[in-house]
Amino acid sequence: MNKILIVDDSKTSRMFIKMCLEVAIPEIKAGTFYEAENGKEALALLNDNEAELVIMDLNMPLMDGSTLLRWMKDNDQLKNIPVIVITSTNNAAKRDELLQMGADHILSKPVSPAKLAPIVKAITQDTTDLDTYGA
Amino acid sequence: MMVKITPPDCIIEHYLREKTINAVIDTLENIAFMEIIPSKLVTPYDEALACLSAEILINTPFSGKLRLVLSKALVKQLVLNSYPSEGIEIREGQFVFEDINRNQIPEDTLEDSLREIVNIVTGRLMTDLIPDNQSYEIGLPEISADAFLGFEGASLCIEFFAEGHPFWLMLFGDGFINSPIINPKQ
Repeated sequence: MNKILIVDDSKTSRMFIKMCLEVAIPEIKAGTFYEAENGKEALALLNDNEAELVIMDLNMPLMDGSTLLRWMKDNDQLKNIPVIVITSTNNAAKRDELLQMGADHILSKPVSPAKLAPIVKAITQDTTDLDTYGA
Repeated sequence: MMVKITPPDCIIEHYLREKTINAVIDTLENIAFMEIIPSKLVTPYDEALACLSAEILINTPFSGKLRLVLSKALVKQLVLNSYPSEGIEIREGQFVFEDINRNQIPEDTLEDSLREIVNIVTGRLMTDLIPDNQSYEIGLPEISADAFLGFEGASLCIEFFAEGHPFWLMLFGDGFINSPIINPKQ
C-alpha cells in the first residue's frame, strides 16, 4: 500500500495540501493520505504503516520537523522515504541545513499546486498503484 | 481621536516598515487573492469589532514578537477565498465547506487559519530581514487570549485594509530596530 503522510499541526494546511494534490494528480484519490499533527504522531504512523512519501512542516509542537527528519534518516526502515519540507522559515541557511539533513525538496509556504504537484508526481510516478482504502 | 504614526526618520525603521508591508501583502494576496492596502495612519480600535489576534515569538537571532489582529469577518473571508467551495467533500467528518450557506466556519478553523497566516507572514518577514546565510528561529503561532488591539510598546504598528476591513500588524522587541543583524540595503 502506497500512502502519502502529511505532517502539519495546522488542519487547514493539511487539507490544502491534500486538495492541491487531488486536483493536480488524478491518480491520487481519497484514502491516499494519512495525517499527523506533529513529528511524534508521524513516527508512530510510519512505524505501523508504509509510506511512499512524507510531506512535513517544520514548526510543530511536541516534535518539530527537523527532529522528525533526523529520526527518519537515522532509521534503516524509514531513511529512504522521500521527504518534502513545506515551511515558512525558508532562507538559504535553513535550506542548506535541511538538505544536509536529508530532505529531498524544500518548498515555501504558502505552497501552490503548481510547485508541489510536479514534485509529488515525479516521486510517485514510478508507482502506478496508489492504493486506496477507506479511512 | 486619530493616532497619527508619522513616517519614521530612521532608515532602519523605514526599511522595517517596507519589509513588513511586503510580507503581509505577498502572503495574503497569494493565499486569499485579496488586495491589501497599507495605511499610514492607525485608526482607533473599535471595541465592538469582534477580532482574533495571533502572536508568534521570534527566538533567534534576537527576541521579539509579531502580532496580527484581524476582525473575525475578515478571517472568515480569507478562509473562504483560500478554498474553493465546489467539490469539497467531507472526509472523516472534518470539513465544513460543503455548507451551502458557507456561514458556519467553526471558530477553531478560523483560529487555525489565522495561526497559519501569522506563521507565514513571520517567516517571510524574517527571511527578508535576516541575511540569507544566517538562520533564525520562530516559535509556534498562538491565538491571543485577549484580542484587544494593544500596541503600546510596539516597535512598529501598521494598519492595513482588505476589502474594506482594517487589520493590524505589530512588531514588539528592540531587536527589530537595534539588532546589528538587520542591515538595510541601500
